[in-house]
Amino acid sequence: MELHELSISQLGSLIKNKEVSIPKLTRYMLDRIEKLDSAYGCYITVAEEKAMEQAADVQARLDGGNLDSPLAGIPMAVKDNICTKGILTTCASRMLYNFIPPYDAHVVGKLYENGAILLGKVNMDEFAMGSSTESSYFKKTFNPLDTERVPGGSSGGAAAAVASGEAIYCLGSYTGGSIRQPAAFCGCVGIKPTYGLVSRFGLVAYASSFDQVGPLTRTVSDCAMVLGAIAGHDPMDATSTRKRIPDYTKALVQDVRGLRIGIPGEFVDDSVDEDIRNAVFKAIQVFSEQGAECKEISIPVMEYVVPTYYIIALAEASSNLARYDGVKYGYRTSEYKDLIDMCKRTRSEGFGTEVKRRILLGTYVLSSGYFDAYYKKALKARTIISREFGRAFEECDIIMGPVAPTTAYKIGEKINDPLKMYMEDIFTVPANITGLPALAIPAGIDRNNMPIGLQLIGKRFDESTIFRAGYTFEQTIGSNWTSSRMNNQVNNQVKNK
Amino acid sequence: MNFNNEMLEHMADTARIGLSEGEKEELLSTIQEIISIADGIIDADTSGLEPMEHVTTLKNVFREDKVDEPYTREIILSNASETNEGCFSVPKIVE
Repeated sequence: MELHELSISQLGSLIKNKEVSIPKLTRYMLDRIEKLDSAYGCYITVAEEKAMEQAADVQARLDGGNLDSPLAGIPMAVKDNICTKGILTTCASRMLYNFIPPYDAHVVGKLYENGAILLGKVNMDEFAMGSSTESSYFKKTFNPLDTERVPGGSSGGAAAAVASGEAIYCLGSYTGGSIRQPAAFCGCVGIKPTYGLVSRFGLVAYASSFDQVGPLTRTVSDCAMVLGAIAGHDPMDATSTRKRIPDYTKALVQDVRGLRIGIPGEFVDDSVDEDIRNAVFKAIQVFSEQGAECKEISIPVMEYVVPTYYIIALAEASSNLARYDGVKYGYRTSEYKDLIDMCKRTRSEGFGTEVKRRILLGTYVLSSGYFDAYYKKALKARTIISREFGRAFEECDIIMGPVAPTTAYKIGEKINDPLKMYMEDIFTVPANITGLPALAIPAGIDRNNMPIGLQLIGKRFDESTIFRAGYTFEQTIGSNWTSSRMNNQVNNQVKNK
Repeated sequence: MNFNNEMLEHMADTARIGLSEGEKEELLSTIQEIISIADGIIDADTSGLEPMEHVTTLKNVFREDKVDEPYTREIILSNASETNEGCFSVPKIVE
């Protein structure tokens, strides 16, 4: 196997045994990006110089016995809405085309402490508003498994970078389904942690009561390792938990005996593609054979999920994005009459259509006369949805279903139909509305050879149980089967270019 | 609920976003469609329920009031498009 195909722990062993040096591994990854990225468009910024400096520094720390972390020397990339000191952080928007943060996001600092090597910043939908990475101001990202298809979004650059081996792992962010859905579309593993498990300091705000950072990886073990490194309290984010963070790698055991897995009937109804439904049924069989107790449950409030999510998220977004006025940072229009005109023109020229649409909708649901009918009603519907999930968790330890109702679709297929795009989020947004953790893992392929994602939703702060189930599933169906198949598919794509 | 051109212009003005005629047309039709999804919660029975702003149960998180190393003026201004004598610069707002 080539270096980019190895897991974090496999690369860690090679580094520890001095079979590969960190600078050599970093150079290898940078060369790979150079070779492939024109085909896939994963990166907005490649931080070559900084990566090589970091590689030399981490190697020295390791050689001097000053570093003991499984992530030491492993090259990774970060979504472009997570602040990196001295490195461009654009949110894939013209509005922040020149923004260089004066500080690192908490999660980035944690990874640096662990000796991670930052290769660069990966593409996304503008301000994380989208599900296909087509709304980036800079470029489109293509699904490495089929470049005519989208990689999902909004963390599409991150998922494509992991799938194509242009990064060993990535940090993405979630507001709706922004890690799980691209993970599913690209055959990767991704987790949305419990709200509050990971600090949001330095994550550019979209909808603050939903936003979280999480890893995108090739395997469940890699995912557990990275989450363990970034989780925990941060004085800069008052909503971050003070709970002790368990060692998630201890949950990586192939044992689901006695685990109660609930499958909501609403998650496998006719609206879901048949191949995806069958993959969920196959997963039920796999878990049952491994000793889990699988049963059908009901979440009879799914009709409220998408409206509730969008009303609250867009209301929060309209408020959060009010900060972009052309004064403190980012884009400013060149011609204007006065302050208000400057602000209007700056925002008009700096934001793309999808961002404008969401700000306007958010402004509408918060405006006088509509506030109670939409915003306040949605907050109450959030209570209903949270209660229903709480009730479901009295009967089971995990709620299982598909990540999305479809697999990766063709580029351009839904970009002009925001309604269709929003409905794609139906199975991912419940975990954001309720703050629950949810893991996406590959669970087979559809008739077009595109990966299908399985979603395991857990109880609050019980990431360990979903990791255990995810690991068991991955090991049972054959470790890395997706990775090796993906490598072939990616290699074929490269050859055809 | 009915979302019309006048409302679109009012929202754009409130949100300080200038829109071209082409954008207005596109946004009006898609926003109308999206509002029709949002209307899906109007009939939800929420009587007696409290609104849930946040999933955490946190209230009033306090920390010690400690003096920390502040960012320098130079760092704070480094991303501004225009500065003047160590301040953010904007068009004149008073005559």
